[in-house]
Amino acid sequence: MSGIATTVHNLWPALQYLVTPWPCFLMVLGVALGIVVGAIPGLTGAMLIALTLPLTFAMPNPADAMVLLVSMYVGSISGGLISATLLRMPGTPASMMTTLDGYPLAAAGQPGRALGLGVSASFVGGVISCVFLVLLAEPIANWSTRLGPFDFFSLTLMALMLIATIAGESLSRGVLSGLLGVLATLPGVNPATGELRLTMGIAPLSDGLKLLPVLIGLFAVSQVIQDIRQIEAPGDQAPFTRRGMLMAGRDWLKQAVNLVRSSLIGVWVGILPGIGANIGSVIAYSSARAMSRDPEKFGQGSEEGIVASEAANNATVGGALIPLIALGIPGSVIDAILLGALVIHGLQPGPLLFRDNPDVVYTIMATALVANVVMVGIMIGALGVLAKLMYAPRNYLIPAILVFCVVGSFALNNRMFDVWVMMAMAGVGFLMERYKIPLAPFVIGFVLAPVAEESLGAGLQSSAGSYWPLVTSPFSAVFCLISFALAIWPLVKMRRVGR
Amino acid sequence: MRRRKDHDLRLERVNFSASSLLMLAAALALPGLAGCRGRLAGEPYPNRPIKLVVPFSPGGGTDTFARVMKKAIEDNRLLPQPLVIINVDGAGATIGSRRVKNARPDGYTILLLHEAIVTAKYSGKAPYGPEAFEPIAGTGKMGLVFAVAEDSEFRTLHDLVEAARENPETLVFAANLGAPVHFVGLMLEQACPGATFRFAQTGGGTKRLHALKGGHAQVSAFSIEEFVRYESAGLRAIAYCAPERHPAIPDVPTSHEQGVAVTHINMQFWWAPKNTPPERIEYLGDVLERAMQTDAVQQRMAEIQSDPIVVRGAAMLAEVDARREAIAKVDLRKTQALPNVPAIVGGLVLLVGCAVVWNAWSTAAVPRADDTSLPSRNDLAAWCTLFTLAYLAILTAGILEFRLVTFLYVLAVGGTLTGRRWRGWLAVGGVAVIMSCGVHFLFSRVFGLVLP
Repeated sequence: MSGIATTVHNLWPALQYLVTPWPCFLMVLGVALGIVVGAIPGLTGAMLIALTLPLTFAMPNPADAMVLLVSMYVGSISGGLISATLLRMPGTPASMMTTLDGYPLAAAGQPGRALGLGVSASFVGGVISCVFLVLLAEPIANWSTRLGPFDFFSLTLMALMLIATIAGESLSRGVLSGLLGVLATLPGVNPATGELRLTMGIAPLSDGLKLLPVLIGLFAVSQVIQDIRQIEAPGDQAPFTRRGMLMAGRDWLKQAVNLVRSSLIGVWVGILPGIGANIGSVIAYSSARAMSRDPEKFGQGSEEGIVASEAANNATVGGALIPLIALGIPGSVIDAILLGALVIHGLQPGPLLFRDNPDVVYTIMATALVANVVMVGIMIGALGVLAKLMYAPRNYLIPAILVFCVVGSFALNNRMFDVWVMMAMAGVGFLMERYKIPLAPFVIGFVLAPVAEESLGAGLQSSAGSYWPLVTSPFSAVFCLISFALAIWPLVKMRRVGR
Repeated sequence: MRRRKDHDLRLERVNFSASSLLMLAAALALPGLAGCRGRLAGEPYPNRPIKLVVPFSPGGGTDTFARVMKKAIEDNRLLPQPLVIINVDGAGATIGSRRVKNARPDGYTILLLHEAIVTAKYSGKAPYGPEAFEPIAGTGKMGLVFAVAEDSEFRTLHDLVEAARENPETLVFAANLGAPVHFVGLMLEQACPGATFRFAQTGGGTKRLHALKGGHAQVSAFSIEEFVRYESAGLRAIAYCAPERHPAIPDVPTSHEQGVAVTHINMQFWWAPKNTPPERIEYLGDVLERAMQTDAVQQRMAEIQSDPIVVRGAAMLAEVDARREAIAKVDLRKTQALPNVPAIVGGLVLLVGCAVVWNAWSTAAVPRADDTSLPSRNDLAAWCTLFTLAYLAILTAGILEFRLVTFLYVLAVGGTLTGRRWRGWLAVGGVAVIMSCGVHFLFSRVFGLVLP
């Protein structure tokens, strides 16, 4: 307990430092820029931070550099929900699950509500993860290294099995969609051996299909095609209101369990190296659906869905900072850049950082906390204007969206090939929706399969081909058990319905 | 009737803002057009920006080094034109290297790639190696260390090798298969006959660190930069793979001192496409050499524990050849056989696909999204898809400038959807200018990305 008291005692001056003009300016600037790049597909937080890093060399105080960079990190994870909700175009892959419910809710005439829920959930996720970061960084980080490849595999297996629960009306269609998603990850470099496979002689395919072009094609472009076909349909005349934008007391009560569960999932996934925000929100979304009282609403504008996805992806920020600060192990790409920033500013990351430069550590923690408040301020302020995008005439909006889709797919890796992938996926998405094959399982399969395959490969390579560690490791055994239960659950349910 | 009125209403609401749209468009277009000049300037060699392809994602070691060099070059005005960094990540750096290999050999596209250019060939990721490029220069020198977890029983390289001899293929070596970290492990096996490791795919530096910390692997290799960064997280170096000790880690004995002749020194190599004129290569080499001598780069090299040396021409080729020889000698044996994932997934897709089709058949009609109640304009959708495909084709071929083709594309799609209303067309024109020049400004000026 005395440890916690010292932490809080040390955090206070850091918080006071943040309200002085210069760091405050940096934080607002960082969060705002982060939100902008987060909302535009093709521009990522990692890109923004990598570009800003050389500019911070000139800052005399390394803590200021960290204030700016961490604020950008928080902003970039939050900004994605804007384009995901309003345009069905995930600005960052981390907000892809938000598109599933945010867009339907916004399209049904409640864009303010949809955005408001997302922002509030982001805030709660961010703050909960900061609490863990501040209070329990070290024990959690040490514990997390005990998870090995087999544990990672069974964790992703469990998340994959959740597809069955997310499948919607038809179980077989959902499973098919998930399998197609897995299928789409196969061409390119085999994640477990580094060898090429199924490239069919097409050189650009040796890097496989990238997540962002697939997401944009599947969701945004296919939606645009649908919009064009129905351009003469009456528009929603529901006037924009601010009502429901801020979550009321009743909402908080209703979503409390969901918020906490999703944030915990986010924190936990954030800690694990190489898994990241995308998967955090996938797992939280699937769990929310599995435990929801009205799961059939998911995908049709469920408030729980938006909350789960956004709480979890923001919670991964604080989660990923935990091993970075406590052990010097970065939990995500952006954290690796932050760690590089510390080194460039002459600081030695790792456990010694607490002893040698406590001011920097506490500034990072305080920034992660306060940046979330700044994020809510900026987003709520801008929501009114942003939500009007929903009502912008389609004939202006559609070409603009299409250009962003093209440029966004291109810019991520500077390849036209990715843009053609996006276009092909738009066709796939359009056909899937037409034949009522849900899109969500496809995305989940696509995101999780490489992690599952890589960790299974790594596990088998280090156990010389033995599958036993899957059940002898306690974590893995629990995940396997849950996966098994999830796999047979739909069958049991079907029997019961049959009777 | 009512429907038409609604549609008009929605258009009406925005027409009043058409003039403001146009003004914004004009404001954006001015700097954009100003940027169009330049191509027509004189003949001397760098008369337009030089593109540097970094085959890794932003933020990695190579990318950071490239950005430090770019800053030094621009701060000291070493190049009359900007150096533009293009990140083309993926497939063991082969996506980026292939791009440069196929680029026009005019000295305007160059590549920054360390010895992954050699390992990619020998691990089968690319059919070409360094011979497909013209060498410009090699900068910096950085070695690899073998490291274990802090609490490991292995104190010296000797301990490790003995243990690997007693129990062959038992000690887990955390590697990034097909990358230098994997090859250095194979070189160690080769230098110590009888000692073999179990190579497990682990990935980048952080993941290897995690694997060692958690006891999931017993040994791994790290670059000195990574090692210094992660040392306090719980790593211990047991050997530096070079003939001489490194000043950053003077206490770590070299592999040669411990009687194991494994040398693995990494350098950042700069390449140009084959048949680039030699005077341009010479010019670029001079620029890089002068950039390396600036204080900023020297300081940065000291921070990442790298010797700030520059080798060019024959000396650089000798460095590359030495690596190629060492790597060619290594036997890239097969690792553990893994389940055939493509076959399993393919089979499952067929199985479930059949079930879905059968279900649909047995319950009569295939259910479709019920959009029959609404008027659907498939003709408009078809036109817009066609325009989009044409847009992509032109961008891919690179016939027209991005701003011009984007302007025309937005005009075409927006116009198709607007129909015959001239005021609507005016606003669409405004949107077109904003989208073409605005997006170009944001992506290429602010973020330094190169658009097609």
